[in-house]
Amino acid sequence: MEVDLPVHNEYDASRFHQVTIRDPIAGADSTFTIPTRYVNLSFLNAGAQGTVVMADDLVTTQRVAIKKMQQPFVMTMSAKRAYREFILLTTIKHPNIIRLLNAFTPDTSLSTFREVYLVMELMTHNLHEVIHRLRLDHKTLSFFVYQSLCAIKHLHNSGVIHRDLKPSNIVVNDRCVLKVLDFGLARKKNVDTSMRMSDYVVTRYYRAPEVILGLPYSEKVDIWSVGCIFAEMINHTVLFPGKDRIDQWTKIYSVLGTPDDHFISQLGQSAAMYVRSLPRHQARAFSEIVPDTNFLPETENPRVHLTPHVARDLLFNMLKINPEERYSVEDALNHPYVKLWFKDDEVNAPASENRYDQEIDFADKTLIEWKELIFNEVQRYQADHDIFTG
Amino acid sequence: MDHGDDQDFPMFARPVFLANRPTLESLSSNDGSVAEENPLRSMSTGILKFPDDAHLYPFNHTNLRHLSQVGAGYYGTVHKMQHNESGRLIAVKKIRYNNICDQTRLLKEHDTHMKSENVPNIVKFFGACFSEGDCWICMELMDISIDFLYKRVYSVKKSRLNENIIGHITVCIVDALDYLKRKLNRIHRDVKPSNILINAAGDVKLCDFGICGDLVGSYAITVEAGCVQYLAPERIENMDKYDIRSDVWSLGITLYEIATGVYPYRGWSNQMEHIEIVVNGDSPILLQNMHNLHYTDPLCRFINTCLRKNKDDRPKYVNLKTFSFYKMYAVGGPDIEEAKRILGLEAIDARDHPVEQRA
Repeated sequence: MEVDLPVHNEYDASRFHQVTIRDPIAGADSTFTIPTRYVNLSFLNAGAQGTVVMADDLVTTQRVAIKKMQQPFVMTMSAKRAYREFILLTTIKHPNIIRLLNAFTPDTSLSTFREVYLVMELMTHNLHEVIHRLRLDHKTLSFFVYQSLCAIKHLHNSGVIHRDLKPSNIVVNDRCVLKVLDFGLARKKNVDTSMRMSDYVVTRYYRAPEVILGLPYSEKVDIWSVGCIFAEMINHTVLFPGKDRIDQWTKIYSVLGTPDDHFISQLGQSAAMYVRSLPRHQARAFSEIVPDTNFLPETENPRVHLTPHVARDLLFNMLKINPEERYSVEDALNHPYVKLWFKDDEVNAPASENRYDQEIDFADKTLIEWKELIFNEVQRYQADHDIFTG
Repeated sequence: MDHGDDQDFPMFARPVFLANRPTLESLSSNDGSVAEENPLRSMSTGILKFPDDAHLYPFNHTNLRHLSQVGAGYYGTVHKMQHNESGRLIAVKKIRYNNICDQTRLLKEHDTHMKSENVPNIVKFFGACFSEGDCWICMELMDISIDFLYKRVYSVKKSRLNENIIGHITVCIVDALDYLKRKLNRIHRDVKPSNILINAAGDVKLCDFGICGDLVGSYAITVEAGCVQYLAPERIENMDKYDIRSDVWSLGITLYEIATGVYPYRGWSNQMEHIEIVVNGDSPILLQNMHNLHYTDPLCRFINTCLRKNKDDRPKYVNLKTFSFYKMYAVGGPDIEEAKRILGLEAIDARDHPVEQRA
């Protein structure tokens, strides 16, 4: 087993400096080794994806967010996510997808490689915070749904299914601009997913039924997730809070009803037997699922279709258990509840070049190989960009 | 679609101020999270307590010197480290945390609880702290998990674990689980080969209950990397129906696996099919002659009884201890000493020939 190196590596002190940041929640320190252009660091967040700070960029005079990914290659799952995220962040461009401003590692060789830093535009809130703190008027609610749909449409046009949309990885700023924050489980479309499904780390509440039940899936899994988030923005509580994958399915069919035999017959034999063995449920009315009382009535505007009834109609069509019946992203963007926000450059932005190699996702790679792949991608970025003054 | 309304769209101003929104009354509940910060802050500088040392060592991550990484899983990595002041070698499991308040409570609770117990056949917990977005859990250093060990024995060395070794492992784990229930009133919930650790002396210890299990469980509430292979049928059907007999099922699957070198359910292409087979199919059965190996009747009966489909037919620990297989190996003696010696050698061998981590 390779012996890990000391935490504080040698770095080029003429171009990088080290700043130690206190995580006030955990009471722990995190040391950032970053180009000298980034100063006045303060803590923002820490979690499974790494530690995030705010900083001033002396070159652009902007305030930015810097995420430190600490040894993202020590586990297969985090290595895959880091690799995907890095490539997609450097290639996908859209106003509703977070923009990468810079990326680097202070480590100069593969053998000393430990840290990756991503510099992104600073967004002040994540949607999870917004949902659980603020009640949203119809304009803001529909505008957030519209922007989410624009983001996923752009991803789909670029050949990517996100697969892990949830409130905590969608961010908004004080001007109501919304952006999708990461690509943690993004996967290319048109790959046969039926036999390659593996258990994977994903937030369960927003997972589409076809994923739970082991069917092949398409980009419509992202419509389901946006639908769940939409309902959560109205109700301020998770729509389908499953305790595990089986309970997730139980929560879904208890609310939306037992699917018809046509859908069940598409399942694998074992899954079909399982679903059929469960007690049958009638669908609940959407007026019960997202009642009028959870909207802000004084913000309704029937003239432009901003009413609870119209919102529920969109939600109803996004939350079909059978993906064949579920709205596509185009259908959703044409729905009256969100169509008023239409701008061609947002809805039909040209597809980004997507360099992510799908086969790498399925490759049986050692951790050393993942480390090298990630290192090479960071080197490639640094060779193409001036990380110090650009 | 009423196209007449289209003319209104260009005139409709987009929202541009997020701040002017009514707040939820539940904001008041955030006051509680402020208070929660204090217990967490007290945990950032933890206390290391070793059972045979009267000292209480205040520590944080700077007091631990990294030696090597010894394992990795979905949630974290395990490292061999040395505590500077005491010179002691320990295992440090680093778990990425996702939800601060729940885990603080769990950690504080277990910190007090576990350090006060000298628990047999359970990996000892020494203390914990936070660093770099990880929770560092300090525990007794063992050499290998039985997950890696049995795979090396059966798949690489084309050998087997003899029955006295299976018996020794069975007694250690049943005693640990029984102790957890009787003394700490805890159910493990995650019995599986990777949570059973072996050292060079051939000692067998259970880990990842309490501290790690609940921490991971807290994370798993929102993130699933579920290990359904070891879940009992009743647990799959209804998460709330759980008692020690679900752990007995998991023990049965584990023993079947280490006795045969083969996980008993095969051929499923996705988790839903696995769940269907476990819930509605027949239980696995260990026969006296299968996989070109011979198993004694007491061993087969012990494992097959653990794997009774109906929870009500499955024994609890007090009854498991009446089985001749358990009693045969619970008394110690030369069979056990030989089992420990060989198991210790296998542990060192597996530790020194690590299987490279692959996707």
